[in-house]
Amino acid sequence: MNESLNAAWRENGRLQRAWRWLAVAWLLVLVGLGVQQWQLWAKASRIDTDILALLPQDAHDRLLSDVTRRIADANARQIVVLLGSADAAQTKAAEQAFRSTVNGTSPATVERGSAPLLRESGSMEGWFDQARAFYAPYRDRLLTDQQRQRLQDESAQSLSGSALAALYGPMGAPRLTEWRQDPLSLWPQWWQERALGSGLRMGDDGLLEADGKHWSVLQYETLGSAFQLDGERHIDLLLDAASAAAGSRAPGLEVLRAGVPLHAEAAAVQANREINTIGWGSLAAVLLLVWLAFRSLRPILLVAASLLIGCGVALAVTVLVFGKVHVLTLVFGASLVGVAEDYGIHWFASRQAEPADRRWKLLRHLLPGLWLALLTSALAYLALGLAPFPGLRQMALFSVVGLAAAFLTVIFWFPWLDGGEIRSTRFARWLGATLERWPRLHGRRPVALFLGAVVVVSAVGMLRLQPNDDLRSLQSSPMSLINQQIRISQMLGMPSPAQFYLVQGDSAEQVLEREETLVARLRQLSAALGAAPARRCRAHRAGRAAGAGRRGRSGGRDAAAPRLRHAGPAGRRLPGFACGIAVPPPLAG
Amino acid sequence: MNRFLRTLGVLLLVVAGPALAAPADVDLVKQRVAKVSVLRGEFSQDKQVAGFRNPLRSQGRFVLAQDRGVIWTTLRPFPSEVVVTRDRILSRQSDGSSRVELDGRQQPAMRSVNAIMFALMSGDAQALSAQFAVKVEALPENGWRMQLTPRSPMLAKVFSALSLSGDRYVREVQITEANQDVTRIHFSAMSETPAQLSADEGRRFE
Repeated sequence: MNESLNAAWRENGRLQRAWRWLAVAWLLVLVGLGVQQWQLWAKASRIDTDILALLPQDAHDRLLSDVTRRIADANARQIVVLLGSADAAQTKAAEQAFRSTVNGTSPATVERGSAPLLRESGSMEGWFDQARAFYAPYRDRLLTDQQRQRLQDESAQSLSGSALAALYGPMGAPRLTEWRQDPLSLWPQWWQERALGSGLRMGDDGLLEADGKHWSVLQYETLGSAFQLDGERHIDLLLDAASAAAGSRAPGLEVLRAGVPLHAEAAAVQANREINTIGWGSLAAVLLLVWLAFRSLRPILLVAASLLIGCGVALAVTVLVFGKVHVLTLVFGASLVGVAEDYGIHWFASRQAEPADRRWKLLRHLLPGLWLALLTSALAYLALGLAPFPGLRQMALFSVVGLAAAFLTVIFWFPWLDGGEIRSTRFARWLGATLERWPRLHGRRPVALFLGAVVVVSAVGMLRLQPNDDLRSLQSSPMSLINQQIRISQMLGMPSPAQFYLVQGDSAEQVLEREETLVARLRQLSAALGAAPARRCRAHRAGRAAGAGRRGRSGGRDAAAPRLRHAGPAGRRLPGFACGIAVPPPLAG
Repeated sequence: MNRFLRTLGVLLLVVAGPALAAPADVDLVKQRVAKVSVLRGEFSQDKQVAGFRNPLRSQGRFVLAQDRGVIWTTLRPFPSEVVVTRDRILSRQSDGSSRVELDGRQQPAMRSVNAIMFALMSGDAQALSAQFAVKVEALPENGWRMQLTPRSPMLAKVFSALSLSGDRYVREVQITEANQDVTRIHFSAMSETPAQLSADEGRRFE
């Protein structure tokens, strides 16, 4: 008897010693992680709101996902603002007011003294020069169908006649080069067709004419250092202020905004709200339950600590592994609070009405059960990570690490920190007593009936199950933002950014031939559907590889212009030859 | 855009140059220039173009109708014709083929260019004094000279300066483009009769 007690003490002592080191080691790990994360987050926000980041990487076509990625990258920082009023002069005045507010030159923004959030990118005047410079090297290969026809059919004499007439006449088609380089003015005509094809109606005052209004098109780029996704409406508020300033200069002014950063910010704001509601809400509920059950401050603090440490470590490890953490992971992760509280509550429930010196024995007693609980939960979450979706993998890692960290906090620290008595409260006794009144199934018949009912109900439910793999349903942008985006796309003749054909070939020549066949077919279809014609890109015969993406035919003065830059030869290159064709929604949908 | 805007410039100057000036100066030119519903005449043009050692000379006739537009017929050295109307610019070759160079109905920018032109014809100076800074100089014997400098950076990309002079009619136009090409146009043999377009002229405006 005495011997066995001594042995138990000795053993407990060994356990305590080992446990002390483990507790200290866990503290060091946490401190280390904390410091490392502090440095990481101080540099840049690691929160990812890009819905494309959730897409499977290799599930489909490597090339296709690369192109999608590139389109997303090119647009990730762009914001387009349209200011429209019935009077051109008022639109101009509004534009000026808007600009000065955004640039921080208006008194209101100077007072605030904040760093500029947005930089104006590509003015309407400047973009044509950029686009022209981009296409200039391929000028001699850019012909409209009409020009091709004309060059084939018309006699050399007739062609030279019109060239000379253009040279001698004081009037003629616009000219973009010296006469000697392009005597037939093919290059400006090609641009004219681009302009017409875009469907844009542009006044000579640089204002867009659409819906019976004069629109000023402003383009901005978010500045990396200032652009934060911290759940606050930085850009939104700035644009609101600018819109208000502009509105005061032009009564009845309509302001439309579009751009990925706006969606990202809206998503971050929404996610922030959801994380707060779910995360803090369930934390409060758990703590309330703990207080009711144990009527003591210590359990509340310790359970809260285990949950916060769990979430913190999960965030840190996810960022370490993936480099970034997606907002959806955080929203999902917030629900972790409700699962990870198990370990702490389990500990205190077992400690209730047990003397403090028995807690090491209790730990020994609890460990196998807790381990099993952790393992089963972790396995369930790990199964999420089997899918080839980076988003789900993130969630799996986040959950498993979060649970494990909460678990380790409980088993390493609670025995040390929870030295007092845990009273048995009336609420706890009442809660325990309710178990007695819980309906139970005795005998085979009731069990069989119950199982049968469960199977029937489940089967009916399963049959009604409709899988929905639409990723968009995961991210819900505010309707007003989507409506504005749609209107701007219509006005500027921009196709949906994510719908395009990717044409591939072994040589640039083959890509061009295939592209021409495809476009001819699309033209027929779009004529039949009454849809807008597809925008084509031109692969570069001269370049070693053609850049893909929507290097559209959007020759009009539309906001698509900067894409010309992004998709240009300076960008990353695709293997082989490829060419993207953007497709208006009716065809691609 | 060079050529087109230059075209516009020429037309403005030929047709309604006087009206470009700011109100105070405009009055002087307005008083001295005849308001004619149909004006016909001859022109000779001297172009100094980059890449050509010698000036390019051409000659021809023009018809200006206040309510229709301009027919600019080059006779030498290469016969051709350009017709500018409210909606478009059309070129015709000697073999009878024609081509629309610009269609203002499709591009409002072009349409409003024409609109400005026609506003000027009817003596509405407001539109263009916004585009050009004008300096007017009175010359003896009811003569005048105007210097026009573009106000907007967009126009300045095309023209560095325009000048025109005349008396009852615009006689002399000089266009200096931003690339330093210089075009001089001299008008002569102006006549105000008949005051209606002939059937042939009317057809050419179609």
